[in-house]
Amino acid sequence: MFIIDDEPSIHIIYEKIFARYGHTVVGKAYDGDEAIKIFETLKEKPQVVIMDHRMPALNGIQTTQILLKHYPDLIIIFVSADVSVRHSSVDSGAMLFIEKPFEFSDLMQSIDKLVEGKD
Amino acid sequence: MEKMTSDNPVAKFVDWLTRPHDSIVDTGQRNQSRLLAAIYLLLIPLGLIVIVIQRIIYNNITEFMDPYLFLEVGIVVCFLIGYFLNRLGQYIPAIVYSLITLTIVIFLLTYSVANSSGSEKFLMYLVIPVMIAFVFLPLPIAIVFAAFVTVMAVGFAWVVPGVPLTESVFVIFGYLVVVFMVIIIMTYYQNELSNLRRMEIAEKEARFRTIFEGIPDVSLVVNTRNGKVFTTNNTVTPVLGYSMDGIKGKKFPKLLENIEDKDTHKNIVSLIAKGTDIGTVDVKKKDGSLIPMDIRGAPLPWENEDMILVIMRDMTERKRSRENLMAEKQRAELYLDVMGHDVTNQNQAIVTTLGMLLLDENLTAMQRDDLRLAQKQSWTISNLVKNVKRITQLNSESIELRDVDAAIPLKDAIKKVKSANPGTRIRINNSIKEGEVMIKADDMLFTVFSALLENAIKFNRNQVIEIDIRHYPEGKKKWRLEFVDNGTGVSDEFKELIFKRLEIDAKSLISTGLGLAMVDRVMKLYGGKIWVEDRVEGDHTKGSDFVLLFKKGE
Repeated sequence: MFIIDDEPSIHIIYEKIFARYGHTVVGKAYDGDEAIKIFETLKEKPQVVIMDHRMPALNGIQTTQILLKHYPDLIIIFVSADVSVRHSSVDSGAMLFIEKPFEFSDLMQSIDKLVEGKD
Repeated sequence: MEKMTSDNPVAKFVDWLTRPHDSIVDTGQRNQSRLLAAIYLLLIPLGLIVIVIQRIIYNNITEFMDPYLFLEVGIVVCFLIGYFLNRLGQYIPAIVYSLITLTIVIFLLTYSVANSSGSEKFLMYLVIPVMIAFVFLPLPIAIVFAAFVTVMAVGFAWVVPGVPLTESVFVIFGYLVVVFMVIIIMTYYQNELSNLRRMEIAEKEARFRTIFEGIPDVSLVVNTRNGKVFTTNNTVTPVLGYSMDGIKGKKFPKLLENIEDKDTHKNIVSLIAKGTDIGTVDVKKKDGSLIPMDIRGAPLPWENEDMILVIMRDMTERKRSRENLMAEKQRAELYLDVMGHDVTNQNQAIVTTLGMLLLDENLTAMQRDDLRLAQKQSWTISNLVKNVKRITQLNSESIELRDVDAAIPLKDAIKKVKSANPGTRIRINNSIKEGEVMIKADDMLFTVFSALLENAIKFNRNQVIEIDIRHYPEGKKKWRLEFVDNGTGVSDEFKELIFKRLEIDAKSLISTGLGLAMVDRVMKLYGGKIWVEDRVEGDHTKGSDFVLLFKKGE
């Protein structure tokens, strides 16, 4: 798992709850620029990226496009309170858009389905 | 004459006799018609008196039926015809008719007198024209005319009685009298008509000026032929800085600055004359500064000229207010957006944390209930933020409709309300299968379905909340969806009101979630409709049936 969100508390909570569901968070970033840089340094690339949209510097859509250009097998899931990007996020290559706030169990179910589909 | 309406019965009768026809609405023409009626009313008895005097005084009774009698009676009948012509509203034919009749009368009388004895001639020449003069002419002219005729008639009758040549001269004289009288009468009428016309124009101008000066905007009368300002009201001074005389003669298009299209600028006057909406343009003030003004105009009837009335409204304040309003609106939307985003993010952290705590299998039932309650409250906060954002969006954006499979957002909405109400027993029977009901809608459809489901859950006191979702085709172009619940129902007096809450009290809308008023607004934007019926007809306490009509998608 890789978490890209500008909210520090989200990082902490996501990390904890992903662990509870048996997933490992391999990296975290507070904006798109940082995410791209960290991604390059990762030895083990994540299967799934949880992407926020509204962030400083590169936004979620721009970051998605760049990441998918280099890592086309990535499963990117958009989670945002901004419903106006529901369609454009999917158009940019994200597999799913989930509106905040959401039930974490729903997110987990979606992740499992998408990962199974890829496998 | 028009005001002859005293209580005197004679005056009333005369007023009635000379009242113009209702079809004559022009004040001047009404006065002329009344004058003509009065003349005829005097001529008719005068004609009768002449007949009687001629027969009784100058002929013996046995010769009463002489050949001239028919002519003279005919003339009186002609007067009657003239009178009635006028009363029937044909006052111009009546004037023409009266002049012709008068010519014949005088000709006949002159001819008759020329064949009479000297004393008869004297009386006839003296009495008849003088009587006519006093009827038709103003008093001073009539007196002069009477004196002239008397002198001439006495002179001719005395100097040359019974001579055939002289009789011919009498006839010629008679013609001259006729011509003279016709000229005088026509001149008199012409003057009367001109005076009345002048008065009428002056009255109309005064009325126009009063209205014109009363207009609070700058008002210009512009000549369409040369585009020059012909006249203006006094608002021009405080607004544009010109004196009323100072702006007269100026080319109207030169006052207008920011019309980029040259053709529009050049033909601005004719465009305004055609009723084209020019909108708001910058108008150059006398000191060279510009002022935004809304320009409207219309053709203005004017004597012998094509004019337009141009009304120019100062939009400075309105423009400033609009700009301020837009800036405030954008700022408010920005605050709302930022706040909404941040609150939702924080709330996501709370919801997730609570969800994580709920995973703990060692929790007591009470602890679990408390955590669920806290989670529910977090959802309520998020919904509140979402609703405020949606209200703003609905008020400022237009909806782009597309074909939506109703089953998908409905499935999501069912899932959402079920998870948002843990511990509540909700039984939803949904008849809509994927791909079955395609409708014209957008992303707000999920919100519409969620709001209806939340409403059905919120207003329900049963242990098990039951919601049936049904669908039927409504004609060829619509889908009818029904959300039937076993809740508290909606009494008849509130059946329309519940959809109008947005207009009545925006605060209550926010506090009660998205609200049915918002659903109603969205449905209207979809070109659809929503209303509520009783689940059991006539008994609203048995639950509600919310009916939605959607346009069919492809």
